[in-house]
Amino acid sequence: MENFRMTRLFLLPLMLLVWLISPSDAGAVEINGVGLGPSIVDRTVKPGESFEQVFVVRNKTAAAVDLQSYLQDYRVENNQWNKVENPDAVWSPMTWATIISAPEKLDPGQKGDIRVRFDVPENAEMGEHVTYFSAKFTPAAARQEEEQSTQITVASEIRSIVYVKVTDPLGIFNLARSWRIVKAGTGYWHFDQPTFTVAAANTGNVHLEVRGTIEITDLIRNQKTQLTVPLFNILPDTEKKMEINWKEAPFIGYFKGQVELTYDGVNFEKRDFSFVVVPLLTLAGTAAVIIAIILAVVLYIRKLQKRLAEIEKLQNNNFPD
Amino acid sequence: MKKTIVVLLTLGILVAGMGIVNAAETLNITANVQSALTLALDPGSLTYNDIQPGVASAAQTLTATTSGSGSYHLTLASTTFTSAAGTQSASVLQFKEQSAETYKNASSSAQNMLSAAGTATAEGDEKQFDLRVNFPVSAADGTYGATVTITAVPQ
Repeated sequence: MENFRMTRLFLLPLMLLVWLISPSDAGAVEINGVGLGPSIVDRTVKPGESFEQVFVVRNKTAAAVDLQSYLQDYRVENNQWNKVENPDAVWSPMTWATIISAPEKLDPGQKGDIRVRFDVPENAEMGEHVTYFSAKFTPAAARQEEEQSTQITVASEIRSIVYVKVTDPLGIFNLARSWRIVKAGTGYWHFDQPTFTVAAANTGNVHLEVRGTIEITDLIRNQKTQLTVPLFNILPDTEKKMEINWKEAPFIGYFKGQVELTYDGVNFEKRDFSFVVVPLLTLAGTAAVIIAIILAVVLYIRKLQKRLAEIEKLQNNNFPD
Repeated sequence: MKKTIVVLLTLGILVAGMGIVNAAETLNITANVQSALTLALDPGSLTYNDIQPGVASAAQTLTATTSGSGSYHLTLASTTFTSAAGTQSASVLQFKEQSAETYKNASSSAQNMLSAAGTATAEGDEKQFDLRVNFPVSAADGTYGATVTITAVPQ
């Protein structure tokens, strides 16, 4: 009995020791689906340097998937992802990237590496640039079509944000964003649909993405309208002009306008202006009518004066002094 | 005497054990942790049968589960609907978050599906959407096919 007690006394600390040193399970949760990592890439480079980035793709689904990978610059406006048209190699990391190797297909449970090389040109603009790396996973199984049906294949895509900070040739990152609004508004008189002009000069050392709004108040009808100034890029030491036509302008009216412009989405520069819209044909027609009326009145008065003179002459002839 | 031996033995094991545990605590570990997003869509395909042109179909639910960390957005883009009889634009497909009132028309450009960014978690952040098709009255009879791409984008 005593031996058993002794054994128990001996075993208890031994079990405690085993519990202390045994590895614990973190309780990982396994999620099905497809994966891409890293989600965010942030690299700092000098102009003319290159770097390689590896993206890891995983297929945790029960079926094989076809894989497409690509890089694309996007700008988001009104919840819509628009591809950047004509990206400039001076500031677009998309144009610096080359996909060196990528699997075309992933079997269930398979993992793969996608290697992308970024060659930053010598004339790359200093600043922080952004592009998106996308991996698109499409079910490899052929779809089954049925009579008179609509079959939609759902593909999964995951994006990674790639930030590339380009320093100066010495490796110093000194970002300066500044601008000067050259023009924001329109002329006073308009005989047709008004066109608003927005012109800005980039006085900093990094490209700016300018966007904004034009709010117009109709002072006669007491109505407000908002126009969008589409996003446009201005490279350093350059000036860019954007013209926005107001197609739904009323036929005639007196308006006040306010242009709000921003390059960072936080700070807005405002410019106020006013203008009149008068249709040229209406104006010319009205002027012609007024001139005709005045001429008619003048002619009528002259005619009356002439008739009065004739009557006076007749009276003088009939009743001589 | 035996008790003394047992007590000493117990103390010795405990002290030795604590030493092992302490040694483990001071062990330097270098880990290259990379954030990643995982997207699971259910179902992988949608089939709409007996569609009447000019009448919206019944909605089908698409569940998107995003795991990882950090905030994210989901976008939707669709190809045109093609059949032997012709093609129809991507706007035939309409979608909305289940909590939303109105449907949005799909397009070839990706559109945000969420009214506000979601937060990916290790367990997976689940979002449900209603998807339906609405063919114009002029659409020819046939079997149409399209590919819808749901994209998870870190914010």
